[in-house]
Amino acid sequence: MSVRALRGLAVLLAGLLLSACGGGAPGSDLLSASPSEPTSNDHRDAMQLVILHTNDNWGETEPCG
Amino acid sequence: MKDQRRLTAYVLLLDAGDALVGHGLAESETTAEKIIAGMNLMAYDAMAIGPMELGLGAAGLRELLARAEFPVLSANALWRADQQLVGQPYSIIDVGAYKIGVVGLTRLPGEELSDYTVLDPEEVLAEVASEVREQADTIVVLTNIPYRSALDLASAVGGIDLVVAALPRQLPSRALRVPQTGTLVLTAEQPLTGHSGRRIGKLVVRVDGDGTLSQEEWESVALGPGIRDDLGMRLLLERYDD
Repeated sequence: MSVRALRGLAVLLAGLLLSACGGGAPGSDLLSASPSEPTSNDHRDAMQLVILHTNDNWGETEPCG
Repeated sequence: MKDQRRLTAYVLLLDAGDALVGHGLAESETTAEKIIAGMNLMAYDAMAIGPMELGLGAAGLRELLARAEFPVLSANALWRADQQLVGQPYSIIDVGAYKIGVVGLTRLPGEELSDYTVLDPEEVLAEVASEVREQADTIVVLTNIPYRSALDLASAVGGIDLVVAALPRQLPSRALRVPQTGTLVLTAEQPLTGHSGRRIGKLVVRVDGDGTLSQEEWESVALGPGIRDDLGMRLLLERYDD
């Protein structure tokens, strides 16, 4: 491979790397999400939650047992 | 409660208010102090301020709020003197990978209270809910408004996942979803003088990826003799009784 061809390949690779590192056009899918954006909910596992709730104790302190 | 926490990874323990004092108790501040200590021991996650708590008066209530090791919530009860909120309006609680926003609302008192202004719960909730939604995946409203009023509130204000309310005319047999918004509404105890604080609601629910609640199962559990007393709680009560 000639020196000119090698230089051309190097320029092409450098361009690809720059694109992958955020140097591409606005709206590119590559790394376009900034850290400040909300995390996607799609990857969170659903969870089981138990809510215990009381109301109107009205000062009651008598043990239940 | 200890058993439930051993069995389940994610448990919230909430109180809808009117917890600390009853009607016309002479030693109300002592009683309230004892109950706050008990709620600290049980590691409550949040409590709403009710009109009965406001009835303790400004000095007594300030002291009790300082003793609570959990958020004491009201988005609509203000000190009359400076129009600042009496408690926190809401709390954002991390539960697993989710943030649960718990908003407190105080029932409008039956008579004007000299130390406080209580704003309309529905108007306040409509404002606060949008603020909480920016910070939480799921919104729970904790309030001592009567159950039937809570159904109206849940129908009128969208974006709420769950309302934990109070004072049912008749104890509901299941968790109800209001058709207008799909919000779940619960209440655990139908109090009568001499019979209060003797039931606890238990909601088992799935939190989906977007924070919505589904597959709910609910029951009101009677705290009868079949449930053994906790030794730590018994010792705490005995200390106050001495």
